[in-house]
Amino acid sequence: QQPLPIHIESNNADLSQQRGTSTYTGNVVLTRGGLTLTGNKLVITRINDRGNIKAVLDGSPAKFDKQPDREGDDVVTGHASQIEYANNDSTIVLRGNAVVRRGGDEINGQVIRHNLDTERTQAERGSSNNERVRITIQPESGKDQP
Amino acid sequence: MLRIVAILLAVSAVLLGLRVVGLDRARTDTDKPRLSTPDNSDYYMSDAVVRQMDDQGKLAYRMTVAESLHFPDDSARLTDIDVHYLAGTKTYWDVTAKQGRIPPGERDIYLYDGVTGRHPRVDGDVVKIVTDNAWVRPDRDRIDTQAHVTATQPGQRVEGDGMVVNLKTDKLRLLENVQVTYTP
Repeated sequence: QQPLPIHIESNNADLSQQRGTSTYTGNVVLTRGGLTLTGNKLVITRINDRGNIKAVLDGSPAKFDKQPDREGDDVVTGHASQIEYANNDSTIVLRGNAVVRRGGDEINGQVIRHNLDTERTQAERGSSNNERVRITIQPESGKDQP
Repeated sequence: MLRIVAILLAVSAVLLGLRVVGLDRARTDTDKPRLSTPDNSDYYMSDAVVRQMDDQGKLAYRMTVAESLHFPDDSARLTDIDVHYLAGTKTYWDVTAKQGRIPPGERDIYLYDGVTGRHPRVDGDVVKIVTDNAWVRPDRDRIDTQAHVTATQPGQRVEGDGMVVNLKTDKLRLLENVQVTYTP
């Protein structure tokens, strides 16, 4: 299957030929299939010459929205100070006051790694005490009512 | 990239040089009928090929101009500009434009009527930049345009409105409405 292209829109861009990096600023939107990232500043670095890139998005906050691939699956959203994404890997990494929501469930942590394909999520705490990982799991409606 | 600017300046230098020659000849051949020059230019060159060598005697650049006219107000007009530029770059730049003009007494050069730049990167990918017009500003090491710009290289297409190229840092800035597609 042909890998999905990445589309980026922004107010302006700085492309450095020598360093192979591109910086996009102002209303930045990155889309790839059902995934949308939005933020203020995006730095794209070429990983190799086969079109693989690494994207680091900063925002206040930077947000992601992943529409389900299969009917019936949940939409997954999240935000953080910074989001990292590479198109040769299905994992996005959220850093700084990171939150990931799926359905009614929510995970909070300083660093959250979410696999867009397997939907496996891993959260890490911050260095200080009040930065522990917090997870909220909503009961399925109608089942567990007392 | 920096010396693409110098190339186009070389044309002006050559034109100025001809001016001196032109005057001397006029004084000595007063009785011969003056050759007519196009569009009231005071002198002109056609099918000019300018080759510049670097300090080691290697080709720095080659530029062809179908026609360049110099006018009494010290402006100039160029047609079919094609610059093959090697010096200072690991590969080369090819810059072409159908038309070009240098305003009176200025050093900035306005290229228009289809401007393209082709630049193979070290890895072999060729970057191609297409726009409608561009100002080459040698004194500020800068090329800029307000026109729509499309830059393509294998796996990547970039579009935007307005562009500034910093010749020193080899950075390209797109000013508005940036749209990019990366295709693995």
